[in-house]
Amino acid sequence: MDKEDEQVSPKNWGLDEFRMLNPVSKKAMYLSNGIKIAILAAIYIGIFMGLRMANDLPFWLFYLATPVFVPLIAYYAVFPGIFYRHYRYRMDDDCIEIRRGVIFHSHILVPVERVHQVQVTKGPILRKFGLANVTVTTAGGTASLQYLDDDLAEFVAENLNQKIIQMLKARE
Amino acid sequence: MTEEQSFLRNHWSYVASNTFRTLLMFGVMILVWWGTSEGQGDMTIYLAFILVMSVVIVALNIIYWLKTKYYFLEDEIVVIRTTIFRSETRIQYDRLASVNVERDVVCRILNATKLSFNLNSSMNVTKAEAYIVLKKDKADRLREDLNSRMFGTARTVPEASEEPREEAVSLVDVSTWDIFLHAFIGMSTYQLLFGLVMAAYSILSFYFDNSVSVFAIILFVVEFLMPAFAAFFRYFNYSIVRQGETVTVSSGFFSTRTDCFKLSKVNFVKIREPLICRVLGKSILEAEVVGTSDTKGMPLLCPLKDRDIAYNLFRDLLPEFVCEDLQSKQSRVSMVGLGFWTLVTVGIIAGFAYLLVPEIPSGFGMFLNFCVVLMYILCVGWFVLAYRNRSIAMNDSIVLAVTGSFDRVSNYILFDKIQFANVFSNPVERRYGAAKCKINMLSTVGATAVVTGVFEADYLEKVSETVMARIRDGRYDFRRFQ
Repeated sequence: MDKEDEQVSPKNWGLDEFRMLNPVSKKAMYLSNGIKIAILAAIYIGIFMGLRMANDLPFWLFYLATPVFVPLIAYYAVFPGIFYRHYRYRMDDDCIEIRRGVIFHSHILVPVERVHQVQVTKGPILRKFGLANVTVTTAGGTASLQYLDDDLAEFVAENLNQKIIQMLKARE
Repeated sequence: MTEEQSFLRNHWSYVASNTFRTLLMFGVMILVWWGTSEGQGDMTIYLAFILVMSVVIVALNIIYWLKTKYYFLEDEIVVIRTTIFRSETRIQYDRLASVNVERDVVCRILNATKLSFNLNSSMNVTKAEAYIVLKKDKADRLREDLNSRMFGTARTVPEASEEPREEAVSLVDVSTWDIFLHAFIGMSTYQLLFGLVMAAYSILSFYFDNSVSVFAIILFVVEFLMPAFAAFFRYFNYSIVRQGETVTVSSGFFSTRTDCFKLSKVNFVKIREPLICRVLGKSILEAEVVGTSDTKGMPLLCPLKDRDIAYNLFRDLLPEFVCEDLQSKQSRVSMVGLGFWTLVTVGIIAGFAYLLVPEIPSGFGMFLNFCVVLMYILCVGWFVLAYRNRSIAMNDSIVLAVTGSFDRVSNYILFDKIQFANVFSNPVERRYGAAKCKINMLSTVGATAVVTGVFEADYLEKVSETVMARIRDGRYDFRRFQ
């Protein structure tokens, strides 16, 4: 392995061992979920007010909506802490592994050999915190490395793209 | 691309077929408009509109027809279109998954054939990359020529000068009765039961109320009769022929369809056994090959036949997919999840029964009570069968995942065709070291996943480990699947 290869190896970024997310990702999740909670709460209050004002609709519809909205709001409130605690990812020369989940825990292993396309995405909230998601597309679906530091996400995408190009060249 | 190179154009039936379809659509639209105006509209305006549109459509189709050229080069097919939107499509022969033949009614009247070229890619799974309409004999020769380039098979369609050969014999003998059974009892148990209940409901409504329940009849026709007849006409006159490593499946009543693919392009194999078929000892064999299916379902290798016949065909045709290793039964903890969903469903049914049944007149009340009891039995049956049926087996090249409850599906998946796997568990399963596995693959409808039952998490982790091990030690060879 020459010097240039060593610099772009996932090992140099400590990616060959399972890593936790940057703690700042929790803030991004809290902000994102806070918006979702605000929207849900507005709809919930809207239902309450609407049913009180509309005399021809039964008020028990509000009690029917409660078991849907309250657990959902609670889930969004506790999600970031649990998600952050359980999220682990690693990447080496031939595979990407992600361990994640809040209620359902999952372990995803994507062989680099199967990756067709790599995409880095960052919405306004992620941009604010200097984070990005890396989505890898295979013929059987997609997998995401979420809330990575911006420069790490770029490195992962670049590294995977290089590997795909090398693989395709070797096949020609 | 030089002008001197020889090229092909679509047969003129392409213009006729497209014009006919578009005019039919306009005709229906105009009838609807005219109908909604309660016959008050001036029909001459509509006829003038149809006439103008016909001229425009014919003109556009002729331009499209003349400006589209197909070049069949040494290594690739090139389709060049020089209309307002210019395009050039290049399809390399070694990337082709299949060349399919479709003959709709217009094509059959005008003795033409439509050939569609499908790539082995998730981006082009439901829509052919390109297609060409040619006179039947010319299309047959071209398909054979392409098959010999793609698959290295011998020519099977005689040149005009050659003596006609004997027709190839189908690997399974399929009668019209087999196709009838396949169409009517080969559907899912839920669909079959729903159709029968709707039929019973419409008969009883006539008996008790002297009125016809239109809604029940519509549901019976849409959910049961139409899919059954569609399957019957689709698989009518079914035959499957093997020539070397190439399989040709053809069938059809009004429109005939011929799918031709190399065995190495098979992504995975399914043996489907809906409840009633299982009781009768019958199975359906299906294969997942990109480009050989549409939204109507996977291509059939064997319609509903005796289990031995279907399994023997499977062993003969795709021996590398056969997995006869000992199957692991589900972990007992799976009963918690299955029991939970059974109780939820029973609760919902009980709630509906409590709210609705007393409102119904006595005759229907009895029928609905019967339906409620039937649904309770189905829930218990689902619980028992979902626990008993689901199993998994692995060797170093194949994973066999048996899924389903009433309708058992045995999925035979090559590790080399797995895109990635996801082992996941809920808190109860985690406590007992169990999990489920979602195996993601390329399919005819983009991507598909098989979700296994609940087994030991460590055992399921072997799916990903084996995929990686085969890539690392070189047992996975991409050239094998080209």
